[in-house]
Amino acid sequence: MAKMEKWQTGGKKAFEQVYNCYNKMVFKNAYLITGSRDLAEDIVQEVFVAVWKFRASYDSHKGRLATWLHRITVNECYKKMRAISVYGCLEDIDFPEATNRQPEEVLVTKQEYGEMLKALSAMDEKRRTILVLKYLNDLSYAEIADIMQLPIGTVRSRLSRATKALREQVNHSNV
Amino acid sequence: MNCQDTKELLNSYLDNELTTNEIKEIQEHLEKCPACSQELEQLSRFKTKFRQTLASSALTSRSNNTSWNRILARIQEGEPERANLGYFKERIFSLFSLNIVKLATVFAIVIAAAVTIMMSLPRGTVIAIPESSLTEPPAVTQEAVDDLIPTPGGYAYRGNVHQVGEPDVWPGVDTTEATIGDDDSIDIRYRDWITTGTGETRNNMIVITAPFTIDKLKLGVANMPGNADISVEEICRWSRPINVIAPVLAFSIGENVKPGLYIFDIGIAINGNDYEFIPCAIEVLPALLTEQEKTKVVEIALGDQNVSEWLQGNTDYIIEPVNWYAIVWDNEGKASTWWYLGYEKIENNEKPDFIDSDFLDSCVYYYPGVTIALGKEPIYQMQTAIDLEAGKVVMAWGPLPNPGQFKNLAGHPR
Repeated sequence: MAKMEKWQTGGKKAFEQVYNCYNKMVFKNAYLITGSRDLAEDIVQEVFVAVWKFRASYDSHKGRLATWLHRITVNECYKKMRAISVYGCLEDIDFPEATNRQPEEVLVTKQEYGEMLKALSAMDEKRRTILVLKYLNDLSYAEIADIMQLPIGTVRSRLSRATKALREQVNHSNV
Repeated sequence: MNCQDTKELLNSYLDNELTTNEIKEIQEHLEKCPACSQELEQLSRFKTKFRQTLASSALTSRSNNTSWNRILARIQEGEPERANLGYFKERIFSLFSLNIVKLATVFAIVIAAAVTIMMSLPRGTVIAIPESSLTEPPAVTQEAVDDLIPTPGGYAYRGNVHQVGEPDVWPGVDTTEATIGDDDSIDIRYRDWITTGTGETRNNMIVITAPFTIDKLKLGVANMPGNADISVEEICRWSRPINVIAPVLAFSIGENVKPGLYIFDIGIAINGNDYEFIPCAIEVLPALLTEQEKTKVVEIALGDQNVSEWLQGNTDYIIEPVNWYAIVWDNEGKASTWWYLGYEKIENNEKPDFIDSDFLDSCVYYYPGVTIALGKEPIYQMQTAIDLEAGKVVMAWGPLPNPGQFKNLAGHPR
């Protein structure tokens, strides 16, 4: 095992820096996977408590801290969704509307933004997860495979199909 | 490369996840195909827009210091349980949801054991497990079920490591995490649930990671039910680096052990301290299938029979257990992946949760070798084929049009 980092060896102050650095990332992933802001707030807590608890098992040589956090986040999302039986209850998704102020270089219109999120919320949780891991975090297929415990070939095919399904959903809502 | 092949790879092409050869082939096709070039442009634009949607600031957290303060409070309080039993408990209760009628005996055992575990009372006589005299892991043999192989980071279950150039035909081995020690400082990864049959032996590799040097390690077993003819021995251990130690326990299930669920505790004593306990369950099924039974094929129906509908329509049958194995075949008929989908029991009219649809989507050819015992006899083999090119899922009982593709079935690991 590699030399442990400062936050792993017990310093809560150092751990707070890890929290400050990554809590927004964890929240956003959890929010997009579960579709619930409240659930995502809970998941942030669970993730960082778990990170603290298992801090000794993290090995920076085996992967980035962010990837490890993603894996814990995905597990916590599934656990929470199972626990409160919101699996597949997509009508509960409460994604917000787009803000009016957007930078000029942004291609997506407000209408498209709404359609994209609506299409995402129509996906099942596995597809939402893989789409979020790829398009929000821009992870490699190998990293997604590690997080979702899947062979890389399966990530490739699932992502391709999920993207296709998302696109069809968006096009469908345009009809 | 034709248009269909190209379109299937465009997403990975844009993600820069293709091999040099694939990239070359796609680029050659794109140069001469305006339709695919247009599709590439549209897909690229869509992906950019989706990325920008997800990047929206409207989706960010409104949380403030409150969230951190709550986390800090929980960290400082520590978790109430010494060991992390969440996964274990989930497994126990998922068993209940599978079978309501026929698990009365198991139910009683589970309730008693679960109550014991939840009350954190894994006590009673601790039977010390003799330490291994071996210093190196056992040699890999094709016969071993829970085979161990060397990896750069230490040893791992064969089923959890894909070896480049070899068909990935071993079922994965599930492990879970627990903690022991002051302030839950010691992380443990092990198997808390092993499903097996009478007369079988299973490995349990217990990877212990501590924030200090481990000089001494003693293992024991507590609360093993009196009627369980299950013996435990440590077959090897290794230590690398000094704060990680990984003993391997072999659980041997006697020929006459009564099928059921056996829940007990594994005691771990580090550096001369008292034992601390992690839970473990062994689910013993009736004797697993013989080689002859595994390959027995009974023709019931052929064609577009939907198996799950068929089962639901035949209320005379109580089907247990169902062992799922699936092999993904490439276009040349070579096995590329071998999946173990777990055991399930199906009662009359229950809807069997057969197939992971995402998994199906990714198959070129799909073959779950499903053995179904109606009671104990007879045992049927279900064969399923999926022809994605024809856009048709073909499920059938009995031999496939080209059964020679599946000749390796008889040797599948369990």
